[in-house]
Amino acid sequence: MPDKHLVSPSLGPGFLTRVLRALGSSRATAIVAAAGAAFLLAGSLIPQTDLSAGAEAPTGWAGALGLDALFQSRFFAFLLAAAGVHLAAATWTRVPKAWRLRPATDGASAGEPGLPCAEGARSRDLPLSPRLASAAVRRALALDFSRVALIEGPETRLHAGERNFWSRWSVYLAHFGLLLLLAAAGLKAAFGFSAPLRIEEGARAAVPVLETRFRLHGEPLGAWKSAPALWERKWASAPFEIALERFDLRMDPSSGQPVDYRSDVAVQVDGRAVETASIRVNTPLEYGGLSFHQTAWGYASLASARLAVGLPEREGDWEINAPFGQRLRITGTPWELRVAEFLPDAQWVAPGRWANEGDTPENPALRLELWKRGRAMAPLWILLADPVTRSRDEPGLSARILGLDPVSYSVLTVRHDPGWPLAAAGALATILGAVGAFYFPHRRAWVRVSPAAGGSHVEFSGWGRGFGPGSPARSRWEAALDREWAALGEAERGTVSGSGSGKTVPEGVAPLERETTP
Amino acid sequence: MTDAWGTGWADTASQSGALALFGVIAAAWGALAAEFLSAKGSLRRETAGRWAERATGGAIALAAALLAFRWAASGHAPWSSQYESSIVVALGSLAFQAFLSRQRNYAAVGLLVLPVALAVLAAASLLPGDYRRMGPLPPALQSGWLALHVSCMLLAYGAFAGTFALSLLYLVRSGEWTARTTRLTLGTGGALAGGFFAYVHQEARSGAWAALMSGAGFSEWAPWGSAKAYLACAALAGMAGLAAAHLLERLPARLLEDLPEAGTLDALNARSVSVGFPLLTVGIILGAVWGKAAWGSYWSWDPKETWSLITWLVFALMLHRRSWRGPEGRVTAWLGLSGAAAVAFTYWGVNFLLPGLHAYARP
Repeated sequence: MPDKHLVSPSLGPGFLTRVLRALGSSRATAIVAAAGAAFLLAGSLIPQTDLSAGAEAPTGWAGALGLDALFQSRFFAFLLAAAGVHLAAATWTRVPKAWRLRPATDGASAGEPGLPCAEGARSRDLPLSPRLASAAVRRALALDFSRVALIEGPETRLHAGERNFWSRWSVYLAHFGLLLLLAAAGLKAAFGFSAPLRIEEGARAAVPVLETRFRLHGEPLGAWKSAPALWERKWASAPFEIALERFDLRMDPSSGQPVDYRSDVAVQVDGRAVETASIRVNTPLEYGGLSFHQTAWGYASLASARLAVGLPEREGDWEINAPFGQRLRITGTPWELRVAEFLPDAQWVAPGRWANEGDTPENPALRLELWKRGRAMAPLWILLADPVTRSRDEPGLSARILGLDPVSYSVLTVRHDPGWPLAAAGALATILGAVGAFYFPHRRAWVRVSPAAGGSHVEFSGWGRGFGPGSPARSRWEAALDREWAALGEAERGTVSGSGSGKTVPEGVAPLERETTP
Repeated sequence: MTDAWGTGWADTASQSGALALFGVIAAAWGALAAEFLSAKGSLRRETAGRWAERATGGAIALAAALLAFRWAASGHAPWSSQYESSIVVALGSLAFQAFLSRQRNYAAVGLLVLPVALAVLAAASLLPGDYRRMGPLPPALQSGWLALHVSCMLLAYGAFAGTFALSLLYLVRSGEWTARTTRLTLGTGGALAGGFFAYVHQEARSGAWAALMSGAGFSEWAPWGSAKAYLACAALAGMAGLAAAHLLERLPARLLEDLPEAGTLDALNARSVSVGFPLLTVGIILGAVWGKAAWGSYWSWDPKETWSLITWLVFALMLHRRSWRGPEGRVTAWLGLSGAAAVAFTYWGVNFLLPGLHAYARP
């Protein structure tokens, strides 16, 4: 009677089995892996446009060929789906192999069980009866393998041992984790969204949300009746607003790089603050099923500038606090000035012309308009980085920036990801599976005992990580087998009463005559 | 940058320490080479072996001390930049070598493991001064995840240094590595690596690759001055590659005998991947969790993420191949070498060639 561990669970009808095996075959693995690697290579080497962030369409040949948004393409979605199907099929079709100790193609002939694998096979003739040799094998297997089974043929007995049976399931747990991650990515792509939210200091902004409406039975399709989708999505506003009360920036004086920045925000409903928070890069705000992440910042405009101005034919500098855009008279002089333009990151273009490269204060510059007795003079560009700027047109006229009081803005990213709990579960399953599979190695061994002239013929093979021929674990176990054989050889004529290794046989290992599995 | 004590001497001290570390590893490699080139059973061989082991131990202690020093001086985990991370990778490679020589007496493998540590440190030491200085952490890195995510990734890279050495040695030991393979692989690899380093040390104009790929052409990013240097370095590296190939092809028979059997090398290779792959898996997942907290998205298809996934896929394929076919080492070894190349590009190439969210290698 076959051991219960040797019964292979059915995969379903024959056609389904064939389809599943084809989808989960190692050839399919190679195809999916090769296609995935090629896609990933192209996607990482060709600059990609983040279409979800509303970026402009790129130019150049990559954009013309549609290679600039590979990770948002339908083909990539199809590839991920194919990877998921393959992973599921490969796992499902291999589960029976993990369950049974004897593969289907075990080379059995004429009712006699054959050795399931030829890996590291070796054989030996023993001057013991098959019954005694089987007893030795059984005891040796029980010493190192927690799961032991026996397949009996008319003449031959095949003993099977397995260690860390559940370790094999760890691999499938890791596969299951990866499937969960793929499912989470699908959920995120279908129902999640991300949008930038730019708010100036002191201002507030409506929060965009991408609403999903499912089309249930009987619901009119309306304007979307031509679309095949089961749901439709539309941008709307959340029932609350975000106000940026203060943006705080701290720079490292030696490197000039920001070391900390944070947005102090208030969540407002109908103009009333219901929650306040400080959002930093690693400290997002979670509210109303959305998360708000600090993404970028910059200077939107200038509130005022503190300047030191030197005037022709006058001693010393005038320290002036000039509100942005306002024309001011310098007290006691015929001169007037106005801070007309502010560039946070000025780049020189041509004589007298500067352009702004960005909103972060990489190279702040001001354009000063000047009047003398009401007559406009040539404007003067002054940079924060310059110690002092002197006018070429008006000898003796100079200016330098003592300080800037900018109006900052903060860019928060609003995100909603309904797949995140699934992704977290998938990540946990993948980690547990990987650790279980690697650090509790699964191994199997088979020993076939058949009658031979003068005793019995014993063949042995086995596999498993760290159980290859010559490996310490394999050598240790083979030595145990040798000890068992030697001990039984000595007791050939007596009663088999103990293990040759001197170790106690674990409980649950039945005597040879009552073949069961623990 | 000034250190936590308000002076800049810590930078000088730690950079000198890194140079000393390079020297100690080079000495360990020299002693190891002397050991395996000496006659078996000779006193010279025994002495050299002892010194190789001592030097390896000393290098591990020095690398650990350097990291502790940088941690104390900067006030944050010392793997926030390309330069600092190279010390961790070197430490991982050294630990693997110590394991090989102590546990199994397979020290000969170190003839290829130690050069990986040397190459990583040398490349980091050649970075411009701004890259090597300790600096304040950018806001994105001010998180407890830094210590977990980055250390897992770097230790995995250290283990994969062992995979590289064992895969290559398997091919040599099993006779799969022919003269033609040598010339093709190392010549091409050397030229590519040379070109890459030349590109980096020409202060690689940022966005150069993007400009090239968008059809802007070479002229914008590679003026003749840097192109000449690029070609010269590529030629030099190509020659170095060929010289190494020549050496590898004609390894002294005595040295070949000292290498473990091909089957053992294959088993050790599987062991190195069994250390590196779970660390890589955990590292990628921890990075995804951090990304969720920092950017709101656990996966952004950033080049660093994409290349980590490519690396993971190559090693996953290697493990599956072993699982399907058992320990038949040739394809496994080639997959191991491909994985090591993917690690090198993820660790170095992406930082300097492909702009993305993980742009922390530069000052």
